[in-house]
Amino acid sequence: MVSGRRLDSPAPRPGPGRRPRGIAPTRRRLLLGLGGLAAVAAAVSVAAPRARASGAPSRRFLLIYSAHSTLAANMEASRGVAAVLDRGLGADYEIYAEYRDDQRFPGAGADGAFAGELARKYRGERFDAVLAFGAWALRYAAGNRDTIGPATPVVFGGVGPEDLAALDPPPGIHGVAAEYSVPGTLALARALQPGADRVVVLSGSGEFDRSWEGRARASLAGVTDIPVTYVSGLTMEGFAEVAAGLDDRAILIILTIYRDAAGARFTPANAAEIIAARSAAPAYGVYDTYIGRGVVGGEVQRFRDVGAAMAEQALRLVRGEPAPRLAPTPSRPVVDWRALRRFGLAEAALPPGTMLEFYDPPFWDRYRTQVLVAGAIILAQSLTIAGLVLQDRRRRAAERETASHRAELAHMSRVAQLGELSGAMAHELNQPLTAILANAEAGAQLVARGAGESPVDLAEIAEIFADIAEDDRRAAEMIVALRQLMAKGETEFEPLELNTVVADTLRLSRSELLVREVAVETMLARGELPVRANRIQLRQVLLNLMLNAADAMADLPAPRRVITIATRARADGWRELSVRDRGPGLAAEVAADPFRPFATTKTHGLGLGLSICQTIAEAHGGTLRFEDPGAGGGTGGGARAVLALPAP
Amino acid sequence: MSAEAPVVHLVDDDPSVLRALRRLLAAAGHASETYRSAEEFLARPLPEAPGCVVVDLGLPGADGLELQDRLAGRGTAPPVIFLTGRGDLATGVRAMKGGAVDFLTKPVEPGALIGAIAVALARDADARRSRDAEADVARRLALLTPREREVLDLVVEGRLNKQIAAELGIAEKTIKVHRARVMRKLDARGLAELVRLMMGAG
Repeated sequence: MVSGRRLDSPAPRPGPGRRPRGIAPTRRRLLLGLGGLAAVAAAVSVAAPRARASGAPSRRFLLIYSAHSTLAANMEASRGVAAVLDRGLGADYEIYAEYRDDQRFPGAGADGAFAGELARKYRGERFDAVLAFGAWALRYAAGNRDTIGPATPVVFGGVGPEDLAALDPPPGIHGVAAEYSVPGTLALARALQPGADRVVVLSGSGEFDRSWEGRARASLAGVTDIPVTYVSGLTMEGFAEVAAGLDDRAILIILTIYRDAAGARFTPANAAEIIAARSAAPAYGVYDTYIGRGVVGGEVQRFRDVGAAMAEQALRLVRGEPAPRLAPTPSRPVVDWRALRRFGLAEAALPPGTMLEFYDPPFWDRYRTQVLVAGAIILAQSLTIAGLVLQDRRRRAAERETASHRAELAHMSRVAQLGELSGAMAHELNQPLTAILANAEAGAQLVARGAGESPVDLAEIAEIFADIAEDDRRAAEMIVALRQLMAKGETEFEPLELNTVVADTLRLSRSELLVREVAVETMLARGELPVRANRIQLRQVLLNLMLNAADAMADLPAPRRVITIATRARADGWRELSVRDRGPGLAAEVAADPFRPFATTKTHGLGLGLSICQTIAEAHGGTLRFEDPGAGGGTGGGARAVLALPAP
Repeated sequence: MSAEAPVVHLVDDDPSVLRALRRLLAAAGHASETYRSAEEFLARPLPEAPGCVVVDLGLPGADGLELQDRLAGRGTAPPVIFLTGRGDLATGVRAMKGGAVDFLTKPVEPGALIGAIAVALARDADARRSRDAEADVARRLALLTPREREVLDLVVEGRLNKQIAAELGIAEKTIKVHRARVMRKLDARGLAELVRLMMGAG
């Protein structure tokens, strides 16, 4: 496969989708020189401490690699081994790894030194299995069974068919076959290029190259419906020209070119790289090593899969389970994302299970973890902040809600009260409406009659109009009271002066009091009595109390109908407004609870009015009480209503 | 029919309503009296003059229905019209069963009230007329001698002169004389009117 060039040098190209490349066989028939270290070392370092916790690990594995430890292929294979052992044994195993590095240090002398070193190093040590990577390692394991323990199972991998045939491993040695699938590669190509019209297969002039061509011809015969052309016997330049002369409807499959027609030597991967770079058609290969060198892809064996398959074999043997002498290594389609892009091939057309290599992901894909972590941190911070804000809002909302509930409750109780009172309300409104209607009709008839014979009694007409206006005012007052009773939400409070409110209300009610032939005397406090109240509601209370007082005195002779309105500042700072009448005083049953709706000796008005008054007083943080200045109910000493309001 | 003008008695605790209704009735040509409560109205003797009562149902103290009941207890009650701020069916039915002329909801349509008052006054006049007629019949019956009354009763029962004569044991000719006197005293023109008068006098 490779001659004259050591493949330990090519470090994998830097790239986000780094993958192992470069096998390092020094001999042509050596297919895979596997050896890996890093992952194994990591596995040991991880596994050992864990195992120690429960004493010595129950399983010990010796891994012998033909090549050196930093070869990417070895590292990949090691990861495959570790993955399987981890899965199968948990932490309960130990790995020992040795690297012959036979390509850089060939020769029997080095072989002997290495073997002697192993013998000394592992004298007395027991292993559950030995894993041999590459032909040299297999040859060593087969030849030193006594050293490593005659009964210790040996599992090899990465050994080509020719080496395998030459070595002919004795019984007790198991392995993983290295198989390469040309039909699988072609199937992948057909999937990616459904419109392809032909297949061109290149192979070199070397012995192994020719054997590859033979295998390809045999395995592709009858497999495909489009013509297959086998090109061989050319120089590298010739191969490159052929490839350049193709178009993108062709499928180019590169087998191996160890040596061209001019005798120039190549590694298959290098040759593939040269040709793929010139090719106008998508190129495919049969080796894992080709991927990343310009070919689109191929059905290949992954070194990691080889390591995994070897470990599976070893586990079976360790557990005494039946294991095939030669287990197949799964091959799978692998594709170079960059080459895919170069030829504009659809990613969506890839068969399921295809590995996409060298994927240069968009920012999101490449930094997904970082983005997610950063996003998570930012989100967590935001959530915390939002949580705090929300908490604060909730607290405020709860406070608001409580206040609003209080208002709602007040409203509900008012509405409930209203339902109870609506009948009385209707009656209150019906009284003035009845009077207005009758007055209007009477006035109209007077005027109509006046148009006839006798002159219109203008004084009578004027009286009618005055009464209509007055009744209308009464109705409006009731509506205001009604609206205030039903009004939902906050009442507007403003700084007011109690004496001014009294004066305003007296002015408004003068005509009503005149009609009722009721005199009003005031005993107002000197100076101002500031309160915080709703002007309309306060007037409403006073008006109601005055009308109530006037009603109470309706049966008295006119000269004795006197309402006394007094204001004062109490010692505790509260303001008092009292309305006293000279009527019969509160009847006993009314005195008990004058505010109960309909708790009245009258059928209309009174009970309702006082209910409203009390509601208003409470809304102002104040009180409304009734007193009997006389000796008791019904003694004729009159009644006094006292509205008390807190200082603003 | 009496020559006296009918009077509408208005009972309502609301002075402005009373004033307005009084004005309305005056414009319609009705005399009226106002009362602030049922008690105030009942405190007075029943008005001699024809008329009716317009009463608010929801009065303080004795309400409209109570007023109606008490009036009915006095015998010759004037017709009652109810006004109410809340027209509920049960109260209305009770009022109407008690003989109310009408049951009107405030604010009452002036036309409806005037109409109801007209009906009430007509009913009152009717009642007075029949009361007068009954009194007249009673007065005239008082003029009859016992024998004449006996004859009258039997005549009204539908007996023939011959049968009456046989029953009372007097001559048929004498029956005829009694019968003529009864007719004259009761101012009846024939048997049919005689029967009608007697049935009205119950």
